[in-house]
Amino acid sequence: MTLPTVVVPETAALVLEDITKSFPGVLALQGVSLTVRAGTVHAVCGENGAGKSTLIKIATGAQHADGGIIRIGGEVLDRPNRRQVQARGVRAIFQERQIAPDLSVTENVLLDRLPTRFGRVDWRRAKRMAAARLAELDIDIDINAPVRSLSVAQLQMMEIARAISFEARLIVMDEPTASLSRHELDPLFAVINRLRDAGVAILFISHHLDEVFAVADDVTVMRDGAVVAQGPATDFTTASVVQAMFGRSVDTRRVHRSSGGADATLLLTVSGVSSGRLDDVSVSVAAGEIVAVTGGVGAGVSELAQIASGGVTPIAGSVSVADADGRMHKVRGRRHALTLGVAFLPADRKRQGLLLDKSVADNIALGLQANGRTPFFPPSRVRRVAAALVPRANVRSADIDVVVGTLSGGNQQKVMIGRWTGVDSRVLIFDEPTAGIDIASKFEIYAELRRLADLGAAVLICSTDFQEVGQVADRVLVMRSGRVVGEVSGAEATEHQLLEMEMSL
Amino acid sequence: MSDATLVLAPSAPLKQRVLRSDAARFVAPLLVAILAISLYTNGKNKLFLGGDNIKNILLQVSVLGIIAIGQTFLIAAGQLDLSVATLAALAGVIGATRIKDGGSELWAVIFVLFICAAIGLIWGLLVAGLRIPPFILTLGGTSLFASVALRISKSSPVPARERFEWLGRMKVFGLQTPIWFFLIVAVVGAGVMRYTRFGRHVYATGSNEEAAYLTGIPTARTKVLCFVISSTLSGFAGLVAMARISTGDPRVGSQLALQAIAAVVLGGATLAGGRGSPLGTFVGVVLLAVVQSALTFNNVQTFWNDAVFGGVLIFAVVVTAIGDLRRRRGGSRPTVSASVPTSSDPANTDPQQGENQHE
Repeated sequence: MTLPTVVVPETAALVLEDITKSFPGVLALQGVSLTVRAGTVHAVCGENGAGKSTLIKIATGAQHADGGIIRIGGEVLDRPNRRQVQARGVRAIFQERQIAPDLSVTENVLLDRLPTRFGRVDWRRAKRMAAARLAELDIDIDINAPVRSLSVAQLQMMEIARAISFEARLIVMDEPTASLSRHELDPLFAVINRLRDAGVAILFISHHLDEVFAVADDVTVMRDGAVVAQGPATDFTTASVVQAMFGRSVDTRRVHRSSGGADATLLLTVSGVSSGRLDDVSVSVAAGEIVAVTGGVGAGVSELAQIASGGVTPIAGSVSVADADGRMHKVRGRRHALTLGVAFLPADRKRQGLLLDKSVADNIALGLQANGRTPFFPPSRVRRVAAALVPRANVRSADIDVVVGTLSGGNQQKVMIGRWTGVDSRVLIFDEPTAGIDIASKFEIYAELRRLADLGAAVLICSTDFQEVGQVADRVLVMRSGRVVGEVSGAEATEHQLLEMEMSL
Repeated sequence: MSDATLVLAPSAPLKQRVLRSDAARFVAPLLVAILAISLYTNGKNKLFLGGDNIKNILLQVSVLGIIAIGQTFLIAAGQLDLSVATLAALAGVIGATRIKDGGSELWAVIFVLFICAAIGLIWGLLVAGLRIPPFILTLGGTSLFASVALRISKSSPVPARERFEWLGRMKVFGLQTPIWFFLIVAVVGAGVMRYTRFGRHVYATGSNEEAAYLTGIPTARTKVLCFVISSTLSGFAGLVAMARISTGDPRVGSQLALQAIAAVVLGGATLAGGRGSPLGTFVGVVLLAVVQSALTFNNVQTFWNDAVFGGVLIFAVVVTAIGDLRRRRGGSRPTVSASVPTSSDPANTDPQQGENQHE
């Protein structure tokens, strides 16, 4: 090994050797090694949970590895902290923007390094420095603009400019394209290329393979905390990376599918909806059918769920729901949707679904409390309703008076489902139906979804879990950057295939 | 699973339900405190628990009580109205002024209640529609109403002559009407909160507004209604206060707003919303009055009144917070076993791995 104090004219900006890391009960990283050469882009690919995030945290000093060696520019660092890593020129740009929205671009680029003269900020020099940083990367942003007025892409550019203002040796980019639209990618790639030419190393984390192949010199594929493939990008194809990412045996159990009913009546129609992230999205779900909409981070899947439920009003387009007579009604808001029989089960149950400090009874009766018109709703009725719904929804709880916040995620979701079966919902919209739920409960919930569909409900699932949508849906729509990019029937939808659709246009 | 339609989920044992109920957790301790203070003071002076003093205590507290019941709706919905005291003063001044000009009493009352309801409507629409924090909004209202009341009354109390007898001094079955009004408002309020759909919406909105909204509960309408109820009741309380002294005093009861909030919190509400009951508030109001009266009976100098008032409130919220902390930590079991289920229960180790695979 090289002596730590001797600066060897080494071409490796960052070397990770045999890094291991475990969390209680989970081996997050098992002997991961990779080298990021100066002046190159090294992409790390892997499914959610493959260990990418943990790897970044260790490389940037946010977490300590249990074992292994970290070398930055040839210097061996033992369990470095954030500050030590930053001092050696390693910068990270995370998905969560790290900005001060009320300050100017100048201040955000220079941050704590504003030049001073006689103890006061030298604004003229500061602006010159910030402008120079932006010009180096050929980034066109007004340095006097308040940061609040910038677009997401511009914010990202600003963060890159900040990173290089610290004499960066290595820049870690965690899913940099997740929140960008298609036409915003090229400027980002141009900046990355310019950085590479200047000798900066880039660790590029993404699960969009076409982007990986557009910029990467080297590729590392991770699965279940280990490196399963590594080498020059030219040695890989999209297919071989996907193969490596999903090499494990995939649980292909499927819940029983409805035998069809092609002439079934449409209950939910989302037509041409645009809003924030979404761009002209249309989906329709018939009675007895389970339709899944899926996509990666930033695809807008969750936004679609909010709009379809009536909780958010779209800027353009409309959501229509059929009433009992089959007449379509344009949804005017969440409460109107409810009266039309639309149930909504949000992804964040604790924040958006449950009254956490209230009992199971109070929570499961909430749908009926919201829906009816009779002026009275005595506690005795709450208890009666709950006593009937809790076993029907298969909620495992000692009794109906247990505080709902103490139940497991699976049982909380069953309380949510029970709430909606109580009001005879005809359209059910699930945002991430099994997020944070253990495997055993997942299948119970899938079976429950199918049972509801067989009873004649239209079920819309918005999920980023490819495996899940393949297992429950009759039809799968794939979204990317706010647009629907493909559709397959549930029987044909494999994780593998969905991923390929989602990644390549 | 098995024949689902016939299976009914069990309730918790009745004893547990009673012990865990708000009535047991918040109201019972207050009753004990009221009883202890009463017996102690009565031991020194037999007049304390005499019929006259009890009636007197209730009479003293009726105006505060009516305002506090209204505030209970707001606080349970996660809202707040600081302007109720000066609104009450304004209502009294307007009511007295109407009479001075020779109008009918009934019309004066209706006119005032209408104005107050309209003010509540405005508060509600601003809070629900523009998402203005009610604290700041109603703080502004406090000054505004005080000023308007002074302007209308030309800064001096407005005599209502010997009118409004039925509203402030008349006796029905031996009790003066303000006491009856307080009791009626408390009982009706308790019924509305407990037995109506609107009452359930109030608690749901206060407990988790976003979840309530996404479920389809009309959270905006619920909040607006709570403001209307509270403002109308405050206006009515102001009229009662005016009728009792036959004078519309623009400076009456500047402390009422904070005392009302204190009484609601004593009764088991949290300012975060989702909890609180008119019954609890009623007992909270009575406790404040009993403490006040006991201080007088025990010849404690008056400057201690506020200190005792503050002390009672702080003591009550600290005890409640400790109780909540215990409940959250321990659940039904002692604290020590909290970590055991995670390691020993196989059903609990699965979810972790399941989650990690899919994250």
